[in-house]
Amino acid sequence: MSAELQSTAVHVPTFRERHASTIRQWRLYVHLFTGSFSSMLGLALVLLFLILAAFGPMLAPYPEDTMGAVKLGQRLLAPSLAHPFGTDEMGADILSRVIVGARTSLWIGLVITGIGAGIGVPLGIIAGYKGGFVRAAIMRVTELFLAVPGLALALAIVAALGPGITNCVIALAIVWWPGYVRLVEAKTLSIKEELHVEAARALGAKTPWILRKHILPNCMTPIVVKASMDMGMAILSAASLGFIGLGAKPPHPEWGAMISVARTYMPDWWWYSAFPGLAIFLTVLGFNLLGDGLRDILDPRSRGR
Amino acid sequence: MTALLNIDNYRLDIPTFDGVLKVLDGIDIALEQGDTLGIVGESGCGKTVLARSIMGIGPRNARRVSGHIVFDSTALDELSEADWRRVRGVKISMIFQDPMTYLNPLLTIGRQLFDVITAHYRAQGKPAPAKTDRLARCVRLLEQVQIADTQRVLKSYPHQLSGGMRQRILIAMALAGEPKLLIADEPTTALDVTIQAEILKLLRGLVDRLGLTVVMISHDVGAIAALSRRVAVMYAGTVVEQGTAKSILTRPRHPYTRGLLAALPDIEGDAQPLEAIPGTIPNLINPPSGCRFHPRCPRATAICRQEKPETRSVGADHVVACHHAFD
Amino acid sequence: MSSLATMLSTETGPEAEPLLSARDLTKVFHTGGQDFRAVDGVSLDVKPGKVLGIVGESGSGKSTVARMVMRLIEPSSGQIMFEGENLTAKSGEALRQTRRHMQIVFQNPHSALNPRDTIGSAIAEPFLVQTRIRGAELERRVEALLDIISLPKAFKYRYPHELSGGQKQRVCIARAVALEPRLLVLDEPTSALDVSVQAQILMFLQDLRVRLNLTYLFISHNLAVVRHLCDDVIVMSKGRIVESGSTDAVFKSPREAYTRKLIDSVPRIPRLCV
Repeated sequence: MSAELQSTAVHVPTFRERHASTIRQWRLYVHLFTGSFSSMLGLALVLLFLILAAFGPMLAPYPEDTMGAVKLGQRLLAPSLAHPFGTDEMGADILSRVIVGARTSLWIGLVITGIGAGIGVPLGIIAGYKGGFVRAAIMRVTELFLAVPGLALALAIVAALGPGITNCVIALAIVWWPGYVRLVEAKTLSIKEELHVEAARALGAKTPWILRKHILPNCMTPIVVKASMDMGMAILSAASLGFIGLGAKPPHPEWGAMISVARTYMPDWWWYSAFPGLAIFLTVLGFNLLGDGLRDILDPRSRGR
Repeated sequence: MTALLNIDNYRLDIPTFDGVLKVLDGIDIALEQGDTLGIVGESGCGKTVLARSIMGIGPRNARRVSGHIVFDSTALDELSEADWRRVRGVKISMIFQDPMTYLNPLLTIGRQLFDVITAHYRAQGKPAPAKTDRLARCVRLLEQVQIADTQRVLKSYPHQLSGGMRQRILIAMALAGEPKLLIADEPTTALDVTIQAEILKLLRGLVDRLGLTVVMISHDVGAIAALSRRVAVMYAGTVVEQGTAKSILTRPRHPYTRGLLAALPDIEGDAQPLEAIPGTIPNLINPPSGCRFHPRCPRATAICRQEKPETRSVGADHVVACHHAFD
Repeated sequence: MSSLATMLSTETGPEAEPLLSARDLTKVFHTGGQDFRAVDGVSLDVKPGKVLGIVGESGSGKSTVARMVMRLIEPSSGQIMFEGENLTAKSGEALRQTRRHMQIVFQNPHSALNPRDTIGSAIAEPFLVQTRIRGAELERRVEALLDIISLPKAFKYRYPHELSGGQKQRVCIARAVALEPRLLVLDEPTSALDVSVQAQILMFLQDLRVRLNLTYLFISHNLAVVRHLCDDVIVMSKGRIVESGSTDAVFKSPREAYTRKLIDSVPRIPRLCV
């Protein structure tokens, strides 16, 4: 045995050789993704949003306007070269506020989706794999949450906790996880019937091992797709709460709150609400197109090759 | 020669992300009216693509590189989709491996059979006869496939019937247009061995009584031997050997055919040790040069790597494509 | 490989106790308010070092028997003895420990391997799950197993979808024999494979049985394969045993009409006259 092993120990495979199949898979993904206009548009919008979120304060032409500076001489100016998106009732540059608002939205989206998936995925996997009473208990609670309109429930929670952006995020995270439970439970139910799970059981693998090594990796595709789409939806929901005054408070630059204030200046000072609205629209569109694009390349059933 | 089906130097490519699959590489097959041909080969040899190409339902992105499929003096590969409707199901019919997939689970067998009959009249542009006549024809079709309690079966839903019964119904539907050619793609693979024997007997009877011409595709040499008078052996997109079943099965000339038969365990159990063909089927994006079987062939020499072997005759109705065929 | 070769020194003599025996196994499934007896009072003995075949058509309950023997599904009633111990009474950690000594290979190699795992991690899984072998020693074991199934070492880095059916089934077999089991349950191991690949796997299994001193319980619907591989055979139909005996006796002179019909239904191929 040792002689055989020594002869093989000479060749140390390169990174390229070890990961040839992964590289090929990714090349295929890139090929498919770049071939779709809407996917690329979604990716571009999301990238733009991420750049704004990362470098917002540096990119904004009037950074002081995002922190509540009052310039009464410049109130409600129409879009011009100096202020491409115009100014608001405090004389602040709307472009600067929209740019800086991206970071708030990203944070909101990430936290809500992260907590939602963080609670929902483990519950879904356990419900799907265990079955019986555990499943019944988890699924009934999930259905209870799903039966109440999410935004209305979040509204009630914020009302109880008191308005504010943190409470708004907590409230939305609480209503967000049931969607993941549903998705992951259904996926787990089908994966646990696959032979490789039965084979692992026959080997004597314990349940946590099976969940971690067999079920979770095979659930990842729909989770990634849903998370991408949820980013957009979470941002939209947080903006809705901001709009009715339960989320971020002015002068904190948050798109929903901006529109909320701006609605009293419609339609004469249209730019005040139009540009934050456009920012929400493009961000949500971007995440949805990205999610669609990911589904198309990751789901073998929607792929004809 | 007026062969009913004539496939002449047919080449088919399928472009994929990794490159172009050369799935069929110069297929030559001729089949007389009333004859039965079994195409046998392992997965990936191109037999299913070939069968579907005859039926005009090949892979959508496939490209014909050369050759023709001529049926009843019509070049099928030049037909428009409108013309195909007067051929498919009418002159050529097909049955499949898994009959359940091809039946609508929400409609009764009677309804589906009735619809098929009505559709055939419409496709030919003829007025459909009275409803009672068409119903009578449903019953006659079921009797043709030896279903006894026709009334019960007509009222049944697909899931209420056994796999063998469903395959009979699929055969009845295939016969509804009174086709000249029936293509059977692995018709018995999904069935139990006792049911398989019944279906093969039924098909045999239909060939004898109706003068039907049958092309049967299978990986199961036994099923092929039970039905077909002639056999074509396919390997990696080529027909390596073709001739009468008796001649091919008892005196195979191609090393692949010989390997395939030696790999079959024998139910009679006489101590013939199994022989496996070494290696695996080739990648059809970069198929082996010359003879596609040469990397796995015990008889391969330099010429096999360089030249694709010509098909040559080695007896009455027996051709082989090999540089070093057995005598 | 030395670790696997230790299995050659075996203690089983010719009159040894059955390695596995099942008494009166019954499985009742409850579906839609109705009881369905998938397996009804099946008893069997697998002699050490021998191959017992179970043959039957779809719905005969043969795969359910295989899964009950492996304790992958719970029998409704009956008893399973493995190496003189009552397997039906075991649970939890004791059952998990016993799994080292009995393994199963499934019909469909395409779904029996986790699509997200490389071949290397698939073969390493038995060790990770059942032993404390890690690191360089684990690598060595994985490579030794790849060697046994005649696959190049570089296949460690491949994913299942890049392998042919036969190669995948070899990997499944490697996983099953990794922990040097006594008993290997083979549930239609070649039914999803081509004829020439089937021959490769059957020859490999025969060779492996001698090398590792394994005992097989071989489930199949293919009578020719059973005839070729098995010492003894059980014919099942509708959850019950129809006939059992030595393979030669059952195939040459079946006592039951059902067995005869089954054997006669297999299409005969004209013999080679070379």
